[in-house]
Amino acid sequence: MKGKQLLQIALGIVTSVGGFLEIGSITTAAQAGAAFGYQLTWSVIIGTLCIAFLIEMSGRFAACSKHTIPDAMRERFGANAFSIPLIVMLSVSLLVMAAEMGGFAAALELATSVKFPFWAVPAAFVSWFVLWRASFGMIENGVCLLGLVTVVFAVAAVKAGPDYGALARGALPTLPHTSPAHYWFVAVSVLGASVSPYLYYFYSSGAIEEHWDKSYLGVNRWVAGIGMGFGGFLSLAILVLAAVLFHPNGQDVGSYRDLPELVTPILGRPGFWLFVASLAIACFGATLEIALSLAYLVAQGFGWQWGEDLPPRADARFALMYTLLIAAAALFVLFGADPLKLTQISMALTSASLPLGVLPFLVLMNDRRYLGEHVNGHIGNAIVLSISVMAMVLAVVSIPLELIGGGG
Amino acid sequence: MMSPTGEVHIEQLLGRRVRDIDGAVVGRVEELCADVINGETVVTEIHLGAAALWERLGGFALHLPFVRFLPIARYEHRIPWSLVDLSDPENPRVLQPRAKLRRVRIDQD
Amino acid sequence: MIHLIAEVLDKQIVDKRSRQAGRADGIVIELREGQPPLVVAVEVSPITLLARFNRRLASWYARWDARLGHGRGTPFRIPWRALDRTGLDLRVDFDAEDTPINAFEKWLRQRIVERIPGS
Repeated sequence: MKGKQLLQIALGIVTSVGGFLEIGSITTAAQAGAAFGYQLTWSVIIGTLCIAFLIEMSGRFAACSKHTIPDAMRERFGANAFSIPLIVMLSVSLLVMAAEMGGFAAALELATSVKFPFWAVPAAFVSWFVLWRASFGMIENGVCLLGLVTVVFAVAAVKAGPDYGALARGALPTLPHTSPAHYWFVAVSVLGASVSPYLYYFYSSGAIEEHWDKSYLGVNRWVAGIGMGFGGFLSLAILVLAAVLFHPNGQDVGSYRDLPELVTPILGRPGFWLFVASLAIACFGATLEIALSLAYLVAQGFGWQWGEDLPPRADARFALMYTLLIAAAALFVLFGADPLKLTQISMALTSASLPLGVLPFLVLMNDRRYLGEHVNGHIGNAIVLSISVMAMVLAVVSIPLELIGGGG
Repeated sequence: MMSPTGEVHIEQLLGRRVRDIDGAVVGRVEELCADVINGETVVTEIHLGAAALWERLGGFALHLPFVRFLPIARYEHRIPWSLVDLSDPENPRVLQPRAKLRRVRIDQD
Repeated sequence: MIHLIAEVLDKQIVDKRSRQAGRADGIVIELREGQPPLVVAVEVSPITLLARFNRRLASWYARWDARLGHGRGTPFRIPWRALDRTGLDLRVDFDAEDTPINAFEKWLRQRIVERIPGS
């Protein structure tokens, strides 16, 4: 493989890793480890596997068809059918974005002791400003390189001295010993945090922004596999930390203020600041990514000019979309919606609505008119289909039970 | 037969139920095919039927492993323009009994 | 053979400056006595798009749009012959800036976006 492609792979992996963690994966992994020790390891693995496949498919789709996913969905399924995933994705992803912005604000609260609703407006403004001024490459690379600070979780997890045997056993799905409703609810939340539709929709637009073609198929595979894999590894590190530090004492993750204790017992005061930096950067990056992803979804669905690489004056409606979305998300934070609760709800809803985003995408991935010989194989189809249907079934069953049971 | 004049929006026809001359339901509008004839692009055929939906989805869906076991109709009616009355776009009609219409199996395309 | 719904409807339109210029929200055919219907034009308009969901909503929007200026309130049509269907998208020979397709985009740009620094 040529040097340039190697560099692209490296950069791609780095951005995937740096961009993987966000408040969803952090809190759901922490809650899984706190409540059930290593038992839910399998949910992190399955979620990571599914998103890795979806990301690879997304990149392959864009590179071969020269269409983004929303573009192809409107074209292929028509305006009426397209409106359903459009509305569902907008609603659910907006909640996720509100959770991310809340996470960013929560990190600032941890750093300054100034309550998080206060940070809603500054956070929104900074997010908007970066999207307004920066190019796609700047955002992708810049924010995600900063996101490498999240490697601190891996370092802490190794230092914590986990029970590797139990960890390995947790990789196989098992039935819960206690609180079954809560167990499946947390599993569903982990899946929803890993398999976020906004991620692979965004990835296809990114591939088009970066002018990918078929020569990038190899790069795409490496980035998806190793990037997502390593990102999942970081989620696992958080689960491990919670399993080692919280689970033995029966301590739960009830508030985002509990989260720094995943790291401080192992790395001390510097660990606290590394955690805050990780949370802030991860959530900030996710906020930008979701805002862009939804703006792409709408702009491409309606056929407007779009592109983060274009200056706002060249795609005013696209810019208006992300502006409105950021403002809407900020309202949740401003009115004090607890970031942790918002995260739990949005992750569960993501799982419940997963097939709605995934199934049309799978239809596209098997369409030779777009992909020629690069259509999906049976394995890819089977894995993605089964995981998303499973996520939905689990969500539909466990959410009401969790609500009845009063939550965890 | 009298063919009335006027404009019709194809996107409004999409999905509409079409009945035959006896009032029996033939299927839903799923596609309109056109050809260039004498320099003009004209509608030559209309495709109807529950199965015709697969045409829009590319037909791949019929090859997914699990679909084979589902009771989905795999036929569509292909009707030449001269047998279709679009004068009332909300109630398109076919000018022959259903049994006489050309029926095609979609996954053999 | 052209599949009007699968290959034309909802397809992205690109103008002569290679900029996205909306989508084929509708296709108009003309019924003729004793002859096959003629494919007349493609419509690019929120009115046409809304009509696919709810006619009342579409006519409400059309009435509101008509108040915004001359020649507004009706869907913009691209004659069938003006469409180049050979590429990935539907290409047209004019600049979308000169048409109602970009009316809102233009208004946003001139009235708001350009007044914000860094645009």
